[in-house]
Amino acid sequence: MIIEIDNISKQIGKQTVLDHISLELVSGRIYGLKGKNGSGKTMLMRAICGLIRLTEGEIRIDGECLRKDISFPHSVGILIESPGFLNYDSGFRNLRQLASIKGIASEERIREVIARVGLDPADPKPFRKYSMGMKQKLGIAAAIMEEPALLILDEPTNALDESSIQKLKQILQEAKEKGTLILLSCHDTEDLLKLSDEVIEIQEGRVISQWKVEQV
Amino acid sequence: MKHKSYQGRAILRYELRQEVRCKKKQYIFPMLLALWHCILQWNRTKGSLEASLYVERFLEGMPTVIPGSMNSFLIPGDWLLFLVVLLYFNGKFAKDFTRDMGLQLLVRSESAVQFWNAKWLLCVYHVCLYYIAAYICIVGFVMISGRYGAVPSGMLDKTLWTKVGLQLVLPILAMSALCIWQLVLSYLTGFTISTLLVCTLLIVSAYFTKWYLPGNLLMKIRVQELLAEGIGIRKMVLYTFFLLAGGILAGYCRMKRMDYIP
Repeated sequence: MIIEIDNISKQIGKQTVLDHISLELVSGRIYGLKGKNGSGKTMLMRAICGLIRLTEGEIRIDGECLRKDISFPHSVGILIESPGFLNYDSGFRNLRQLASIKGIASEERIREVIARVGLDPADPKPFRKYSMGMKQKLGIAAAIMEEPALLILDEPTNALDESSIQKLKQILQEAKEKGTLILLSCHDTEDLLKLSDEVIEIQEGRVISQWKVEQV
Repeated sequence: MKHKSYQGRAILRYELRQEVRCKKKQYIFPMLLALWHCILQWNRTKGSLEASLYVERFLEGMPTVIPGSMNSFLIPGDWLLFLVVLLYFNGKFAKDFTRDMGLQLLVRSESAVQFWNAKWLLCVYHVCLYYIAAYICIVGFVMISGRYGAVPSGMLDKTLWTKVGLQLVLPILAMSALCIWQLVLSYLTGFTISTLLVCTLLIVSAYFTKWYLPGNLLMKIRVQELLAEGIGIRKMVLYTFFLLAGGILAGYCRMKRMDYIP
């Protein structure tokens, strides 16, 4: 998968949230977005998911223009902002219902990913009784369960403890080896460096630098 | 890879299940309102009202308002309350696909058009359930109060379909069209303004007996007046179909162009 971001801009009201961004992202890499709150990280992720209409420029995914040729990427797993599920259903039931939309992930696969993120697939506890960390883990499980070609994780380390971050790193490495293109953002630079291959620094909607972690 | 229409149908199935599972409390209100209507009719007529009239008098509305008369500002409360609450619930969940589970469904749909198809079908389903909940309550009341046998034989003659049209098909169609337009407006202006706009249209309808003001098609008395004026039921049903189709078309255009952000 190749994502070509060609000089994109987005204005909301009078505010420019994305300002002439051009990037090329390729599969089998983990890209980390670095920037302050309100710098445009989440908006860039939303743009790549096809969730916003660009004021200028275009995004092509494997040559198909987003919001013109396709509405959303064909195979994408997302965790944007806080993970939200049906409050009265267990983690497993939530994911099973979500998986029924595409019909790709089997029940066995759902159990596997729930266990992989450190939750118990047999836990009958409803989602509303989950702690913040458990909710975050379930959000990650939902994003990866269909083995998407593009994985977008906004602040995936939120509310996760050190061992869970290590687990997340393993999950991302495995996905990367399978050829998944991963884009994630993090407040904590240390976590971002741990998880990413390349870091893209964003400030006031502009990309100010892009560098490989191994070079640091 | 499965076809996009498979995802569209799966989203609709999912949403229909959720409508019954988590939003079932919404349907208590029309049932309570219908029950209140039945009790009121029962008390007014001291239990002598014919069974079919319980159905016919529900949401019957009012005759054309004559400006300057005593009832200039008397809009039927039960009619307005029934519709405003339906619009409130419809508008409240209009943009639920921009966050949480809705966002996950949207992205998995792979197509904004498929998603909109599921959304407007769900809207029609919601309106049908809302009306049916109220009428089930009335029929239940009639049966329990032992007046089921009093259904006049006239209900089963050739005018039956006109009656069914008046009681259910026309109001459900007209309300579905209004709700779909409310969805489209809420994507443009947000929940509060869209709901206010549609409610204003309903209130304006109460003051002007015009067949093209959809509020009139939601009042049985007004429909009878329009029929007496020579406007056929077929014309009214066709008009609501056009209104519905226009809303669906506008929704397609809006869904393709909008930002899916809360």
